[in-house]
Parts: sequence; structure tokens; C-alpha cells
Amino acid sequence: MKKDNWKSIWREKIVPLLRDPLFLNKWVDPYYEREDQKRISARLNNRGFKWVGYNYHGKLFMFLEDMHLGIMPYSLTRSTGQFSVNLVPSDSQLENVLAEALDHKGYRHRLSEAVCEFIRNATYSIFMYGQVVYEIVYEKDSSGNLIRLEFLDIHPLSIKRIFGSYYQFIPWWVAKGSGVRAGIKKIPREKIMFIKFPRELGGRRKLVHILKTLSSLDKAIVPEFYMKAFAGNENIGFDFNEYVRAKYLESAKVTRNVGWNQRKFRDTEILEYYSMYRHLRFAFSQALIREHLLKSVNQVLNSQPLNLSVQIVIEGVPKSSEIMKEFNRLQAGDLSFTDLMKRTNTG
Amino acid sequence: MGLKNFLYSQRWFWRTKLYFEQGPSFNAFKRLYEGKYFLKDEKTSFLVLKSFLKSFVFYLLYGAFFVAIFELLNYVLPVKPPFKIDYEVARDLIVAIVTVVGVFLGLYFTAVSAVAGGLFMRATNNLQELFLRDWKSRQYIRTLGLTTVIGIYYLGLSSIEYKFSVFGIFTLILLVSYAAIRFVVLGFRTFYFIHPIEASATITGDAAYAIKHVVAGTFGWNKDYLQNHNRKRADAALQALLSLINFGVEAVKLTEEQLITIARYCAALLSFYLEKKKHIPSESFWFRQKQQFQKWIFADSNAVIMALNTGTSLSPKSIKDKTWFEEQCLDVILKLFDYFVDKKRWEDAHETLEILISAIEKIGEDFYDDVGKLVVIKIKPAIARAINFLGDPIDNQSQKAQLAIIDSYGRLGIGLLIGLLRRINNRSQDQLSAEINEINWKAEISVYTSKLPGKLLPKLEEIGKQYKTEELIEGTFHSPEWYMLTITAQQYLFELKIYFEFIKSLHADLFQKNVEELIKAKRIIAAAGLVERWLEFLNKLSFFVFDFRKLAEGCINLKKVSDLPWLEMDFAKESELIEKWKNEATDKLIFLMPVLSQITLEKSEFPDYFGQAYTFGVEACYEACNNNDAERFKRIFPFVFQGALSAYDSIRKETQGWNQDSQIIYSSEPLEDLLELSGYAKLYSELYQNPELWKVCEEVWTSYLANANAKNVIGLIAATASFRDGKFMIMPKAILRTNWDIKFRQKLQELNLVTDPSQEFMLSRQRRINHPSALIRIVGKYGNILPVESRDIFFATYLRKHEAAQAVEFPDRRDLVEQLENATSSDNEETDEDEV
Repeated sequence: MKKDNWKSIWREKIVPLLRDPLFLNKWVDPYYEREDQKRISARLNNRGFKWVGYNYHGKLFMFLEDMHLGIMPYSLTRSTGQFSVNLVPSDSQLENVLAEALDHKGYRHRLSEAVCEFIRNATYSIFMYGQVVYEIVYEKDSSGNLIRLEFLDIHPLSIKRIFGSYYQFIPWWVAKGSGVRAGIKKIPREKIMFIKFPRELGGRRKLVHILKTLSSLDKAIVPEFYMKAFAGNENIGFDFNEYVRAKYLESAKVTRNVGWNQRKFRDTEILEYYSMYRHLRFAFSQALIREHLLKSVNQVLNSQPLNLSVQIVIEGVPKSSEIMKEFNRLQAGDLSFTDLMKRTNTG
Repeated sequence: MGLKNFLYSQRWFWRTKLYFEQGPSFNAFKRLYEGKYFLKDEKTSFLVLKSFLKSFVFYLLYGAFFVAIFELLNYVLPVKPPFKIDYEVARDLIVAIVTVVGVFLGLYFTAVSAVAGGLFMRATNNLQELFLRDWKSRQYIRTLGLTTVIGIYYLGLSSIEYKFSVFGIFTLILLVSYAAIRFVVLGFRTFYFIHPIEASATITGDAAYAIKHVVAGTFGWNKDYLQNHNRKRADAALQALLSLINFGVEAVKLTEEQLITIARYCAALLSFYLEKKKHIPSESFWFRQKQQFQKWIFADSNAVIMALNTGTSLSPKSIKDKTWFEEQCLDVILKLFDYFVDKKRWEDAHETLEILISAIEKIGEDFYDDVGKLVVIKIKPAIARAINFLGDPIDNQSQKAQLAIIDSYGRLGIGLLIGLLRRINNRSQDQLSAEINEINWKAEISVYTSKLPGKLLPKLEEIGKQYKTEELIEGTFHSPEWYMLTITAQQYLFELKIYFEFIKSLHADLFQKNVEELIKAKRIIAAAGLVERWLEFLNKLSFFVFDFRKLAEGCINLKKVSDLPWLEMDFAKESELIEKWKNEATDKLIFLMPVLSQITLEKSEFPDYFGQAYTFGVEACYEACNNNDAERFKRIFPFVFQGALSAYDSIRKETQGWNQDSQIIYSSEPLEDLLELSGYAKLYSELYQNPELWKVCEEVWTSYLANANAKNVIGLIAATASFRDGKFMIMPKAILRTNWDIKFRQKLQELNLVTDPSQEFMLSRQRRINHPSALIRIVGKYGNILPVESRDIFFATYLRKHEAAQAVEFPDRRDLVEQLENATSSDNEETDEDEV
């Protein structure tokens, strides 16, 4: 009896301790499904990470939504007749492979739809964290042709670049949240697509400032102290309109580089000219992000280890250079605001 | 989060802010305001002293002159009295005399004060306060107090045998002299205790002071408690003015002239306010607040959020009453008007209205349609009351009174338009651009000093605020100058259109309805008077449309954003509409002609409305023919026909005693008008191939000749025409009829029946005109020159053929009858050939 007890203690307590003395596997979910044997990085959720964007207060939520939802056109077959995404040079087989690679949901078979989805998701992530990271997983046949390609999400907060190499850090509290093994994983440089928030829009530091400000500004619609004063019928001189205007001004100020309009479609706080100016900035920032993401994807496709010698080309959405010209037109006058909106809207 | 938002999210910040605003800030501004008010009082006091100094110096010199005379006499002719003067006693005697005189003076003025004091007790609180604030009395009392205190000091010093300096004595002498002389003047002023000029000046001065201190840029202009305070002061001042009228009417029995002075002061105050109003921020607490309940669907999102979070209903929205001051001024003036009406002081009532009208011209200049509407609404019942009060005007005097008041009422509409005309007349878009460009949008008060109309102020404030928000967000301004110009010009045109629509509404509300009511009430002279002003109003309105069109067309160059909403107006339609209204007004006057011809009034004291109606009627008939408007011609020609016959009779009576030729020429002028007009009716009927035109004329003549002694009438007409043809002279109204001739020829040119006047005359004497009417071919044969008088056309085509005209000789200097017969027979031949 005593011997059996010792055995069981040995088997259940001592052996696992000897096998995993640092408790790295302590949080591994037994039902965790490893989707791809070739994947190096671990798939993580947000649990365990502390990030400003997780406080979904009104303005921050709206900002993130607005920045990514309109970046690419929806309803590709109807209203956006001029919009197209092509592979140059054309290769229908490769096009299918790329469509599958870019589409994370796995049901979009057209390259144009897949690219739209990819850019939308990447934009959300890049505005949320200031960077977006993918692990490139691929397979080639015996003759070296690409038969499978995947861009797998890596949680942007888990990845660090140290001396030219990428490492995924999974502390125990993150491992616990995602049900994975804690530890550090080295991911080869050529297997990583790392895209940072563009410097032209102020870089990651500036974005974090925007996120923090928007998050802090909208914690409460009506401050608690006023609610208490109101309940007690006490006059504390609180001016709600002034309070709201001050928040509006700071939000407008902090997002001026990206031209976000705070969903005020008839903004009575500013002149229509200036709202057009902000619209152009918004369109310009979206165009920049779009071009930045596409350039990064094309770079990956045309460098080691893929070396596909193809370019994904998007037509029918305003280019940043075109929008820059619109700034000059706006400044000069003799124009139609409606036409300017039509020319610069993504669709 | 920025510092501002951090502070705004802290309870202690709001509490501190509230404490600071209600405590130190409020008290500091209160003290400063009091200081400023004290300085203003001292300034007034100084002005009183300055105005009195002249008489003070005069009295002083006058007294010195007497002393010098006596001393000089004593020096030149020294008198040695047979007794010895005791100077000690003499000094006491002088002191006693001065005291007794002073006592008597005091008694005298005490008696006067007692009289005035009785009135004082009957005055309302605000008037008592006003009288106690009389600066001249207050200054005197202060001087007296100062003198007494100084005197007591010196008495005290002399009691301890202190030898004080000569300056002190000199100052005391001056103060005593000043007080004594001032006392005399003040005593006389007691009679002015409730003089309306004095009281009105003080009251309106108070209101003006309050207005000045809510104007942007002045001390504490943006402090809500000072805005409130100044509104209350102005309100109290206007209430005091109303009390003064009641007091003046009931207790003091002020004269009408004095009451009119109050109206003048009030109108001047209104004028001053209308000038300053555009410098007062539109959200200022100077304007009274009205609470208005909001609809949830249209409410501002902040209000909805607040209501949702506090679980309350939507708080009522504060709406500014922008016209409260004007309304109270109007109440004061109309109260006086009503008083004069009650007393049947028609001239004074008229003068009061005229005073008001002179003040309201500013309204149009600043596009204040709200004030304009208020004026019209307020005056209408007062006028109606006056007209009812007048009863049926039975004599010249009451007719004159009624006419004067109605005339002023008509001038009200013109007054509201005239300011607008003054602003828009010959105004180009360059001038407008210059005015807009003068605004420094970056400066806080620049919009309040702009030359643009006052009605634009809320828009300018909004634009300015939105522009400055750019700097708060970006640190710099992005909207360019052209955009600021575009949106300001856009708002200018919108506001101009709103005021224009208001002015257009006066056509019906002020003129048309009232004329109809007056006619219904058989106040024909008054109706004619109002129609006269109506026509003047419409003429001015058509000038305005011309200027407005020019400006609006010029302003298109300022529109740099093609899809920006812009002024949409069909000016051609507007002009057409006004022309239609003009016709309507003229027709109204024409319809009054039969009644006007029956009214007997002292001619020199009343305008000749019958003559005006007749002259306008004749011209209107011609215009109706010229425009091929058979319907209008049918409406007015019978009246003009009757009017011409009445005018003929009336002139014949009036020219009795003149030499025969002049008598015939003048009395036959209306007949000549009628004959010429009938000739033109025929001509235009042929020209337009519209038999309706001629049919109207023919029916009236036929009916008239059937009921009159046709043979005599036709004979008289033919004889008069021959007599006039026989005179080689320009007839009295020939120039007007020549215009008809010119207009007919222009019409021929318009219809391409006559082309180049010089060629037509010199080269193509035998040209053939392509027109179905033989008459038109004959009159157009010589191109630009009308070969026959239209009167002869009427003779040839109608009167000669009348059965009663068989033996009558008609003048036919151009053988028109023969020409017509020839033309008709050649027409018949051509028709036969065509048929073959």
C-alpha cells in the first residue's frame, strides 16, 4: 500500500516536475489544436497582455473601426466597378495560392476579395498595436513551385526583434491565458513579415499617444462627480457643453495627422473647408497604410525564401500621390466638395 | 489627456471655478463697475460744474463790478459823513443782511419745493428715484456740505486763536459765493423738477449707458452677470419712461409738445440701439431668455446624453428674445400715440408716428426682418384704433387727420424698405468683398466691428468660432481667404433674401389688405392716400430688385465652391410680379375714380387724388393696349372713360373766367386723352390682330352715345378737335401723348414691321409692310413716322360711321379715310386675284 502511494506520487508529482522543472508546460491546454505542424510561433489571444487598446471606450472603439473598415471597398462587384486587384505577371495558379494565403477565413477564392480582407485586418492590427506580424508558412513541390502559402498571425505584443532575429516571448501569464507552453521561441528572420505603423503618420509612438488619449477621454460620458452632485441637487458649476467641447477638441487635435472626423458627418464645430481638409488627411492616411501594407506583402513575395517575381497591383482606389494633388486643388478653390469626396473616397 | 480635460474631469476644479466666479471675480468686476460708474458720475458732475462756471464767473464779476463802482465813487468823490462808522457793527449788519436774504431765499424756494414735493409724493418709485438722482441738486448739496465742514474747521481754529492762512479764507469765500449763486439757479430749476426733457435725457442716458456696456470690447462685455445687470438697467429705464408718460399725463398735465419730446428721446434711443445692436454678441444675456421645450428627435446629442444619464426629461432650450428692447421702445412711443388719439390731437399723433418712422429706417440697413415684423405687428392695431376712433370723417379737419395718419402708415412700409435700398443701391461685389475682407477672423471682436448688416452677426460669430477652432486643433489656420469670402457672401445673400421676402409681404399685409378694408369702410380719401404710398413702395421695390439682381450676379464670382448652396432667385419673375402688383395698385386707384370725383374737399389742403387716379388710369389704359392685355383694359377703361368726362366737367368749371382759348384747350384735354386712347385701342387691336381690345373701347363708346345726346356729343368732339388742330401750339399734356406715339413706334420695331428709322424715312417711302391690317400698313408706310394722329384713326374707323355723325365734319388732315378706302379696295382686289 505504501509502495503504491509512493509510486503514484512519483508518477504524478515527481516525474512531471523532473520533466518540466520550470513549469513551462503547466498551462498547456490538452485540447490545444496545433493547426500547422510547420508553424513555429504560438497562436495567442489577448489574455495576459496589457494594452491601451483593450479598454474599449466609445471614441477609441470608433477610431479603430473607422480607420480599418473603409480602407478597402466592399461589394466589389457592384458599386466599385473600377476596382481591381491583379497579379503581375498573371498566373492563375499562383493567384489561387496567394488568395488562400491572404484570406484567413478560408472562403474567399478571389485575389481581390482576399487582398481587401487582408488589408482590412492588417490595418486594424496596425492601428491597434502599431505593428502587425505574420509568420510565413509555405510548401514547395519537388520542382520548386509554391503549392501552399500561409501568413499566420503572431500576436504583435509577443514578438521582439533582438540583433536581427525575431523571438516570441510567452510569459506564464500569457501562456495561461492562451493555454500554450510558456517560453521563448526563435523565429527565423525569413519566416517573418513584420510591418510597422508608417513613419509618415507619426510612427508607433505617436499612435500609442492617440490611443491613450482617446481611451482616457471617453471613460465616462457624464462624470461621476456630476451625477452625484445632480442627485444631491448641488450646483457645482459644471458646464456639460464645455466639457464635451473640450473633449472634442482634444480628440480632434490628437488625431489631426490621420484626419479622423469623430463620426461627425455635419461637424458644426468647424468650417466645411476644414472638414474637407481633414477628410483628405483621412483618405491620405488610409492610402498610405494601404500602400505600405501592399508594399510589404510584395516585398515578402519577391524575396527569400519565396522569390515569386510577381507583384500584387491594386487599381481603382485613390493613391496617396493623387490625394496630395487634391490638397492643392482644395487650397486653390473653384471646386466641388462633392466631387472631391467622390474622387477620394475608397468606395 | 490634456491639462484642460484633466481639470474638467475633476470635481474640485468646477467647484473652485464656481467659487472664483461667484466670489473674487464677481466682486472684482462689481467694484470695477462701480468705480467706472462713479467716474461717469464725476464726469457728469464736472460737466454740470463746467456749464455753471460761466454764470458763476458772471455773477462774481458782476458783484465785483458793483463793489468797484462804489469804491471808485468813494475814491473820486470822497464823502465825509457827519457821523462815524463803527466797522464792527457794520460787519455784523452785513452778516445779518446776508442771513436775512438767505432766509428769504430759502423760504421762497422751500415754498416752490413744497409744490414740487406734492408731485414727488405722487410719482412712482422709479420716478422718485429718478428725481432724486438729479445731478444739479446733488452737486449743490455736496458743495454746501463741504463749505459747512470747512467753515466749522475754521471756526474751531479761530476759537483757539489760530491765525489761519489767506488761502483758506479765500477758498471759503469762493465756495460761499458759489453756493449762494448756485442756490439761485437751483431754485429756478425746481420748476424743471419733472420737465420731460430733463427726465427723458436722464432716463435714455441711463439706457444708452447700459447699451454701451454690453457692446463687444467694452469693460466686462463678456461677463454674463454684467450683461444681465445692464439689461435690467435698460429695462428699468424704459419702464421709467412709461411711468413718466403716465405721471406727465395724469399728475402734471404735460403739454403735447413736452410729450412729443419724450417720444423723440425714445426714438433717438431706439435709433442708437439699432446702430449698436450689431456690436452686441448674439448670445449675450443682454437679450432676454425664453424657455422653449425641445423635441427628442431634433435635440442636440449633448442634451439627450444628459437627459439619459440623469433620468430626467430634456431640459428646455434657452431662446434669446432678440427684439425685447425694440418692443419696449415701440410700446413707449405707441402709448403716446394712443394718448394723442384719445385726446383727438391728430397732428400730434401724426408727428409721433413720423418720429417713429424716422427711427426705423435703420432696420432695413441691417436686414432686421424680425424687428421689421414686430414694428408692423405693433403699429397695425394702433392705426386701426385711430381710424375707428376718428369715425366717419365729416369735415376737412378730420379728413386731413385721417389722411395724415394713413400716410404715415404707408410711409412705414417705405421706411422699412428705404434702409435696405440705401445699403444695396449701387453696391458691387467688390464693395461687399472689401467689407468681408476687413474682418479679422483671428481676432475675438472683429466680427462685432464689421460693417456688414447686423442680422448676419450670429452667422459671423459662428464662422469666426469655427475658424478659431482650427487653430485650437492644428495650431494654425487652414481655411483660406477665398473660402471665408465665399461663405460670408453666401450668408449675406441668404439674409438679404429673407429681408426681401419680408418686404414683399408688406405688399399684402400692409397695403393691399388695408386698402381693401378702407374701401369697405368707405374711407375713400384714406384709401387713395394709402394707394399713393403703395405705388411709391412698389416703385422703390422694383428699383431694389434691379440693384439686388446686379449684386447677386456679381456675387457669383465669389462662389468658389460650386456645390455650396447659393441664392436661388428668378429675378425676371420677381420683376414681373412687382409689375403685376403695380398694375393691381394702379387699378385700385382707378376704381376709386368715380367716388373721388364726387368728393368735394378744400383743394389746396388735399392732394388731387382724382387727378392722380385719372392720369394713372389713362396711362394704365395705354399700357394695357401696349401689352395686349385686353382683360385689364376691359376692367379699367370704363372707369377712365367716366373719369375723363368728369374731369372735362370739373375743369370747365374751374377754368371759368379764363380767356376762351385757354378754357377750351384745358377743358378739352381729358377728351383729347380719351380720343387718342380710343385711337390707340384700335391701332393695337389691329397690330396684334386682337379684336377684344377694340371691342372693349367700342362697347363703352356705343353705350355712352346711346344714352347721351349723341349728335351733340359728336358735334362737340369734332368741333373741339378742329379747334385744337387750328391752334399752332404745344398742348398742355402733349408730351405725355407723344410718349404713346414713341412707344407705338417701338412696338412696330420690336415686331420687325419697321427696321432702321433713318432708312425707313429717307429711302423707302413707298415700302409695303407685311401685315394683314390695312390700317397698320398705312401707319407703318412711312416707317418711323406715324402719318396720322391716333385721334383721327378713331374718327375714321368709328365715330364718323356713327349714325348720329352724318352731318358732322371731322378733321382729317392726312386723308386717312381715303387711304383706308384705297387700302381696303386693293386688299379686296388681291383677294380676288388669289381666288382666281
